[in-house]
Amino acid sequence: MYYFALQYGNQDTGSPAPVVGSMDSYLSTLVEKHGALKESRDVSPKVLSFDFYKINGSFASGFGLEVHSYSKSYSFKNDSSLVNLSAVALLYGLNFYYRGDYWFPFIGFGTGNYSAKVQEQLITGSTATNGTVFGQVDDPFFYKLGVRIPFNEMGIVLTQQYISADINVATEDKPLSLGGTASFIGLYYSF
Amino acid sequence: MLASGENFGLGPLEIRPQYLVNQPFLAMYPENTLTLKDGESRLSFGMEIANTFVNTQGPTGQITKTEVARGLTLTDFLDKDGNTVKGFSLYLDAESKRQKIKYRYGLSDSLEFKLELPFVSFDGGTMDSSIESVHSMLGISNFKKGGAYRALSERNQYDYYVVKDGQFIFASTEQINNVRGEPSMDLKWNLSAGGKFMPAASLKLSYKFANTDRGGEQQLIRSGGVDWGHYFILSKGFNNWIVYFGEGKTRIGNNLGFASTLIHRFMSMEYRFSEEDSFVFQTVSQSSIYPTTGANSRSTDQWGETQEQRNSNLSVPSSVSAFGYKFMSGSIFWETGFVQDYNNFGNETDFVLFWEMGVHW
Repeated sequence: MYYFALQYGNQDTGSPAPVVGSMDSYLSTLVEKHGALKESRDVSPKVLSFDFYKINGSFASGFGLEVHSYSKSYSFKNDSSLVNLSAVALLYGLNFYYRGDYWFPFIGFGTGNYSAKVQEQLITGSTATNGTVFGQVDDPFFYKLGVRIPFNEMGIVLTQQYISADINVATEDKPLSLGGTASFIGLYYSF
Repeated sequence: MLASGENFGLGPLEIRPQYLVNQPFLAMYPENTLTLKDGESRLSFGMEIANTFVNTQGPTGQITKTEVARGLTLTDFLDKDGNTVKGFSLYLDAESKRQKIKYRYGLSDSLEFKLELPFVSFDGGTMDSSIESVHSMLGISNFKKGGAYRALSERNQYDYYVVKDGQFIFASTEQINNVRGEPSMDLKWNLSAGGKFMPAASLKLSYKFANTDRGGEQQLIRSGGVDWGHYFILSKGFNNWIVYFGEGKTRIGNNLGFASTLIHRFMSMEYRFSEEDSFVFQTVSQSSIYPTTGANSRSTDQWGETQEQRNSNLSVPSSVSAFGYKFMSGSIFWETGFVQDYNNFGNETDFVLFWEMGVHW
């Protein structure tokens, strides 16, 4: 059996994944110099996923591949400094389902990689400094839980996902979280 | 010959990193968790053709067809203000052809020995125009970063320049043909075949012998030092799908000014059309061959980023995806596929084609 799903939702990159995540410090370091962030740490990823699984009675186990992408711009209250962030993740891992009559709750965990581009233009007095840092997180870890509600081959999927994925931003030599706590809703097609 | 089981398939694509600067060093690559049985042998021959193009001077137009035609000097690798650039600067325009002979032998039902001998060629190749056409078809400009500034250079030429802190490490414009590399040997131990819930697990240890004869063109292919590494590999079957996951590390003995360790990780999804053939999708991540240097990643240049800033990103890990087909029937096996990088950091190949075929008995 296979699932194709398209999901959309909210991800708080400032809220570390319980147990496996930790607070980052790149943006908080910039906040000390340039003032509070005007925007929240929330991002809105689009998630495309493909899962296959093997059924054993009321249970099923399988493997999933998911692509996440988002971008976000941050500005600061004290000056016109800007930080642009864009990230793409290829995540994969194991999923375990309970196949109920009307809904299929699941849990999963896995790893993969995140690629990110951090572009900063920072103003200090009359001086502007520029930096573009590419980074890759090779060892992210995520776990998730959720439910699939089937309507024939189509259905609705709800996912709560916790992701630990910090890149080191070389300009400040500080970590920036690309993961965090995420809630997604989407549609899936099974065959 | 190869046993089938719930957690075994025909295996991942056995393709190593093909980036030019990685070629002299050992590099761990994905493999099946399954080993040959006691007394079984397999002999194979394969070829990997990789196109690599990197021009760190592209954004400022400091290296174009004109400079390449007259021969590059260290002056071409200064920044646009004439200052020496900290860290690495590159002009790589080459196709590498790595041919390999592999022999495997089953020492027991769960322990396998392998010997591998590479022969490497560097030349201008033939893939540049096809790659540029694909870029154009996808709306990627060959005059910009996305297209690696390919349009500034002639197609199908060979030039291999690596500069570190203002000094050449490699400066080569003479094509090389079938230079014998340093042999390596592996021991792979299948720790467990797994079961309904547990994955199969194997540990692979690799050792590259040192050949200190590094005169002339051989310096591009041989490191002259002993390298060794390991890969821990898991596999789990889900009906027709087999998923492989591996994590490993290469320790480089004589690093020539590059990284002294490389971290590798892969994930493979094999779909078995039948007992005889499979489709494989694979992603491989690897830390950079370029270590972090003193290059400054931030500048106050009013025109934007400096070359040193941009080059500091060469030390970022990279990832590739690969697609391939594997076939095994009777005593014959064959695999083929291609690899495409998806980060474009300048420390990875652009495009790789590979095939391998052999017999086992």
